[in-house]
Amino acid sequence: MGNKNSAFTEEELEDYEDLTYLTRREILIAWGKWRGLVGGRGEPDKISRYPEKDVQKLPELQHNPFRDRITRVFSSLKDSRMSFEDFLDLLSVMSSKAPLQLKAHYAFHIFDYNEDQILDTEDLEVVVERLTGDHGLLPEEKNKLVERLLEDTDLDGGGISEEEFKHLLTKCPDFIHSFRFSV
Amino acid sequence: MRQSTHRQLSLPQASTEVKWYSTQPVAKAVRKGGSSLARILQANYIWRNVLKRIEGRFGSSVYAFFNFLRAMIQLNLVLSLVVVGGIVVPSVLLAGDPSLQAWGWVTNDNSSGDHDPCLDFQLEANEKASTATSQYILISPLQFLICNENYTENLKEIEQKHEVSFIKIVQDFLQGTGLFEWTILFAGRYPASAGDNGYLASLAYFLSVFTAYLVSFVFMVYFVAKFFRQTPLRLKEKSTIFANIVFTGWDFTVRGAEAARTVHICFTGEVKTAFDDDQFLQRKLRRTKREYVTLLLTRACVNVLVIGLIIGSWVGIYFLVDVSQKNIDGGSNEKFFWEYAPTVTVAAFNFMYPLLFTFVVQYEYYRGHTELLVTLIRSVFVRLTSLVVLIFTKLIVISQESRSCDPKDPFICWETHLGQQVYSVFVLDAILQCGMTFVVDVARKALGRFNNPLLKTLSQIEFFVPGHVLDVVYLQCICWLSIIHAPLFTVSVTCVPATRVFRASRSSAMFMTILCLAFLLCLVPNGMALLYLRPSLACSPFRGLDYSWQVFTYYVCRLTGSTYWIRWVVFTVDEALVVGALIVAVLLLLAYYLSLISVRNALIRRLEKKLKHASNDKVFLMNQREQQQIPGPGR
Repeated sequence: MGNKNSAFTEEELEDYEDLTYLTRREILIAWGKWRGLVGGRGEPDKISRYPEKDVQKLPELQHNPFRDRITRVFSSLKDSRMSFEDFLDLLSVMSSKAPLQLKAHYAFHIFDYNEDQILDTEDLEVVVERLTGDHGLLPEEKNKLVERLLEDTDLDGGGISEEEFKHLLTKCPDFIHSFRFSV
Repeated sequence: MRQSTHRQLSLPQASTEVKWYSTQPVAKAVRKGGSSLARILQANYIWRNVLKRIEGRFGSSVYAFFNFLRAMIQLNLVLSLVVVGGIVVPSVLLAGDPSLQAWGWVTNDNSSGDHDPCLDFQLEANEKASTATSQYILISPLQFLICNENYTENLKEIEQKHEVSFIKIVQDFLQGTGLFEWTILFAGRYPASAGDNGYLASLAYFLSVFTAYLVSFVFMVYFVAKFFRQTPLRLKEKSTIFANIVFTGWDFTVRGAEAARTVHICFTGEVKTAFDDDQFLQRKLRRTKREYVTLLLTRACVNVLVIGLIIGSWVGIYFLVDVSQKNIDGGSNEKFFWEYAPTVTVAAFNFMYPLLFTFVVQYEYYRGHTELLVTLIRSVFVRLTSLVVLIFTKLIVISQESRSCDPKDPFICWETHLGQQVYSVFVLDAILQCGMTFVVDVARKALGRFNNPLLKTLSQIEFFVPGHVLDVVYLQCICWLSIIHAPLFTVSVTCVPATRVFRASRSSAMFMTILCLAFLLCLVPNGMALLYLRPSLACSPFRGLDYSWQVFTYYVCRLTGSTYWIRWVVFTVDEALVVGALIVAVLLLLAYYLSLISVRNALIRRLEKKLKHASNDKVFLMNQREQQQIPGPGR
């Protein structure tokens, strides 16, 4: 990677290491990737914001059915743009060292399509739709699935709240293995 | 933004918001130390690239398998280091000297008076005349050299009798005889000691083997604990299958359009399977008594059949070993055939039986997942036990003979003989696996190039993860079995296939559990060999002793001074009372933890109920408030 620390001061690197779950090496790789993604407009810095479409070119996000939700959730100003620090946030939550509760928190917001802090029928329908892609489940199967989901996980009626969601995910051992990627 | 957050944090104010990044100095220091250490030990770097590519193309289940493989290879590396460092290297450096073969263990007469186990044996070579400390020498030290020479001379004779031909070399390679026999590949070569005050070779041998097993055991316990911590305990009330499928449905590790399509297909498949299972359960509840009884009978029959087949295979192996012993003389090709027959039978059973089981399990009407598990367990059982039974049978045959120095005796050096058995199984298995991967699978993929749809379906190979796990476990078992008899085996080779993924089966905990069972199963014959059989006179580092573990007693007895406490501990633990007390303590601890688990389960259920009641209360109060407000505006 050439001169490794040309873009970061030692203090900046330490700060990033402290505030995220990434190691120094991962941060530098992330910087390289970021420059590749947004690079065409001259030397990028760490605060300027770039449109979401550029970030969605990242290989891990390119074919992800939830990529627009991901970039929206991690965008700090919700202006459909992301900065490098938002990108680091994303990588940090997705790293294997992030704890279950944190991932569950973000997963909840990613699945909450209408952003009303509750996973109700509408949100779940969107989730199922995106997960099956065009390899259909028939519409009545999808409805049945959403019904079963709500039946199984909803403890108090009215949709799945964030607490119920977190409690649910403690019973799913695969979540931590599937909800991650690394640079 | 980060800088401003950081500045905010370093200001000395009490922050009431919970931040998820850590600012505590101790944790910070630990993390810094850990990351700089990791930077130094860049050993994982090679693995990381490969694993990442696998992850991207095939998804997290295949990744889990390769992670398992990597852990196994790391374990084997450590074991190799232990064994090679402890046994092989010193023996190679020192054992070239043929006079070392004269060293052996000499019994002293200890039957008079107070029996002190420390004085039973003594390490001597035949150069020394009988010393004054022993009055009766039951085995003359000269015998060691004579026995050993009988054996090696016999080997050389056999070598020279047959002409060197390609077939002969292939036969030798497959079985470990001829050229390969008197080498460091097998246990017989290692001497009992390296000279007068030299390296304690026999103790090193014993301790290295023991350490290798201990390391494997600790390793497995660690991994099983780690995986079981992630798997939650079953709360039977609410089923979370659908939630599991949907919310963990997308594998975020995949990159590339092909892999993404695969995950979509997987997801749809899993939902359909879950609905099928659901219907199956509904049907199950609606079964009539009569159907139920018929089903139970069928299952019982199938299980009896399976057990019968497995026992049949054991008996077959036993008889084959017996018969092959009797037919050991004959022409050289015939001899090869009879000696190699047990190995080939084991391989044949390993191949045929899983196919049989997949056929038979259809009649038992299990759920899809259970069906897979049952077949897998049966296949594992057959593979591991047939190997173990082979070794066991040989051990029984050996133990029936008494040790002798006759060069015509096939068991003059039984350690090497057992090592050869394991070696031949290993070689055959490796050849078959490489053959299957490189020849058959490559051929199948090549068939895909033709534009015939039939050939195309034939060429799409599933990476059947449990099958490959079984292969790895089997190899590892061979490795463990062989540690005693053939110390060079810990360097194991695995072939990595490159295939496409269509099915995802997930459980790393299952891999480790199977490995644990295999380990325990392998301990049995090795334990028996080490603890109960008399070492042969012509070779092996324990020649002259009654039992191999007496080496340990000998050296413990000679510890004085600062290491005297080891001796005290070993002799105290030996008593039955202490062992009994330890076992009782462990059982009590186990009972305590089990009760703790059940208490916590009950607590979780109570809290869930409470949550439900609290929300019901909320709804009730909201309704009451609405009712009270309705007459309000009308007033």
